[in-house]
Amino acid sequence: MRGAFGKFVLCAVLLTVLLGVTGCWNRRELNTLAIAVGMGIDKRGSEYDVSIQVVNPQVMDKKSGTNRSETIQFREHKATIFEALRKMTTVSPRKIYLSHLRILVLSEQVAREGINEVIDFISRDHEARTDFYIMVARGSSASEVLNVHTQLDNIPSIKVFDMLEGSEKAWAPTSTVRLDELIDALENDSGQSGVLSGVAVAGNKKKAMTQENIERIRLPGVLKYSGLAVFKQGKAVGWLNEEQSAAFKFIMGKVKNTVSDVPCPAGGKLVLEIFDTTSAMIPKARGGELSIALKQKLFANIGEVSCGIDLLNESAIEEIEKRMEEKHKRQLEETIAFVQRKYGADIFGFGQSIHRSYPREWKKVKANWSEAFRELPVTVSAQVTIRRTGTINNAAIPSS
Amino acid sequence: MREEAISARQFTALALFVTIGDSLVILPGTMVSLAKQDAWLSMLVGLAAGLPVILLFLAVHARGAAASPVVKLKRICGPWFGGLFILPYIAFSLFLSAGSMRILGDFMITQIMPETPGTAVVALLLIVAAAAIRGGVEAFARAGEVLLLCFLFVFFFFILTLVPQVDFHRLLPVCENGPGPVAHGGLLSLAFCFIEIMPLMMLMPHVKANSRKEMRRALLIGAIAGACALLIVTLLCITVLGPGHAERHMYPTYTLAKKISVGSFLERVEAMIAFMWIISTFMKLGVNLFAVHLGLAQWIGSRSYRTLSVPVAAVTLALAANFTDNMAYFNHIVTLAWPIYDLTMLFVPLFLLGLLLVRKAGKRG
Repeated sequence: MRGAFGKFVLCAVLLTVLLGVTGCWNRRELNTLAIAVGMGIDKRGSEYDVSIQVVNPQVMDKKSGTNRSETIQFREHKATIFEALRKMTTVSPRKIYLSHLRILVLSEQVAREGINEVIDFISRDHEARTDFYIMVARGSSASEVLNVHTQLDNIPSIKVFDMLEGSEKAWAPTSTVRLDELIDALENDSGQSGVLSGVAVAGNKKKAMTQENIERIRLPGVLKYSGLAVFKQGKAVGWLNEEQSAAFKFIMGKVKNTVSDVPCPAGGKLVLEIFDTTSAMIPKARGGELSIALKQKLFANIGEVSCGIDLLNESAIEEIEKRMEEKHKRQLEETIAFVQRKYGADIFGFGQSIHRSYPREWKKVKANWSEAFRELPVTVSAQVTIRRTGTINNAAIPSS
Repeated sequence: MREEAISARQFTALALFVTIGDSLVILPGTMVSLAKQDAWLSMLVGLAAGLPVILLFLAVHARGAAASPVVKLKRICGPWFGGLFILPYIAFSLFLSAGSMRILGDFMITQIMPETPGTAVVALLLIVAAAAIRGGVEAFARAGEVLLLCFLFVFFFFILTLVPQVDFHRLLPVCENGPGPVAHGGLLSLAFCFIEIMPLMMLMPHVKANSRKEMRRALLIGAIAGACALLIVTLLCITVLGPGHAERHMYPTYTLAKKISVGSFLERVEAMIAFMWIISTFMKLGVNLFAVHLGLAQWIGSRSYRTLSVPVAAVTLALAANFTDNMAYFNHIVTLAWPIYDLTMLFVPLFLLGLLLVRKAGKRG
């Protein structure tokens, strides 16, 4: 076997083996996958009603001008989410593939009854990742949210994902929450409290779910971001409105860019574009008394003026800064007081920051943190700096 | 046949791989589950306790004629009494091989290929390892040198892409639950990273080092660099994922790689960490199997150690398949039984060092 013939046989054997060992044992070809981009979870009785939005690959190919829908929705209900998903094989010709999930929508009922089961399944499954947004459907079912026909982006899930992502960068009330952020919030020392974005079908709900919705210039129904749902011990306990949602994001130091109006000294309004913020959360424990100091720094440009004010005057700018500081401080304080009083849910992570800085004091309050949080004194200080006034200085057409 | 020789640099690469080995994906999570946000301290404790262990290995090597510990034991105690120490030493190397293969198989099933039998993955790697044994020490060490480049490239890519997500606040509060959990974590890193270097002693006689100092440098640099790599990975696990997250995940290092997202186009690169891990685990497997083969051959006085490559691979495969029943049992083994087993195995080099010292004193006197 040592000769040329032996080598030939060896090569032949190796090449044959190569045929068998390349590729993957449980490969799944692209044309056997149903790529899920959206997942909606409702409740039907005690069962989970799971809707999956799947991309329709034939329609995504623009050349074939069909009037078929870009996405397909599959729906099944069963006692648990995993069972419902597997039962979906009885209606879907292809196996649901979760790796490209963009949004996970929970109905308000699911949110109120507790999201722990959902979170467990989705983080245990090896296909699902953590880079999708989770939200609560407000005023409609999760399945309906996935059913709205959308424009610009024809796939509703991707539309919602892009909308949230874009809005999050330019509008303070909008917060996005990914799976790992949610788990972080719900399992850390803040009394298992956190938030999820809310999404609603605005306008004509019925028309929004038909092809007719995208045949008009003004869409009869749209998917819209609407505030934040507050979670306590894994259950939704209520909502934050637009202003409170903005305050929440400021406190978390996550505002990248937003606008805010300020009343002018001589009546009327002026709009500031806030382009940079810093937020410091400083826990204090003086004589066993815990408290939190929030220090906010806002950097802004003047974006719109609809009042008589001399912007070339330094003291006028200072006056605007002071008014903005007051407004910001009040907004934050009111939001914190509201959350403390109404929900008693430490969504800001005050507990965690106390734990990190004062582990010994934390051990004492840990057990009844949810009560201690209600009484926690929080002081807010804000510093606003106006940098520029845009491309013009005084109002374009001075109001008399 | 001429003596097989490996350079000091190749030996450094081997030491680095053996230190990192299968710990890369297993150790950070296990340490975090014990010591929470202080797991990085555990790594430092492990390093501090590990240095004397490495010096012990070096001391055993430096005394007496240049030969492997098995040869020395056989020469001093004879094949039968010496066998009382040689056999556990060889078995240790074999168990380490099987253990690392089982860990790798479990990982592939859980995270990447759920329907593929873990045995298939393990078998593929063992075939390559058997081929490596046949290729000999020299070829294996050269492979290590080449693979080190690939490994380091991926490793630095991994760190750089995660740095933007680091939040050092997650390391607070330091030492919250006292020194106990930190010490327990330290025991794990001492055992898995440093005591498990022991099989590498079998390759030491092959190293062409000009002096004892060069030998010592090669091993220390390799082991410390490996420990630093693990320290960085542990720190990343805590500061990027947070202790709670890192604790809950089976393979936090892999989860960490899932978090990589640069400009929303450089994403889904977690297979790279699997690649990196397979390299380091394979190199550790190789060293362990070499220890088994060389040890057996030297013990029975055979000149060729290559003969047994296929049967030993088969035994390893069977051992790996029967290593644990489930993850809960595995977790128990990893946190308690295995590190203690590692620790008790230190009696072999300690005994040998004692013998060598006594003999030297006897000769002098």
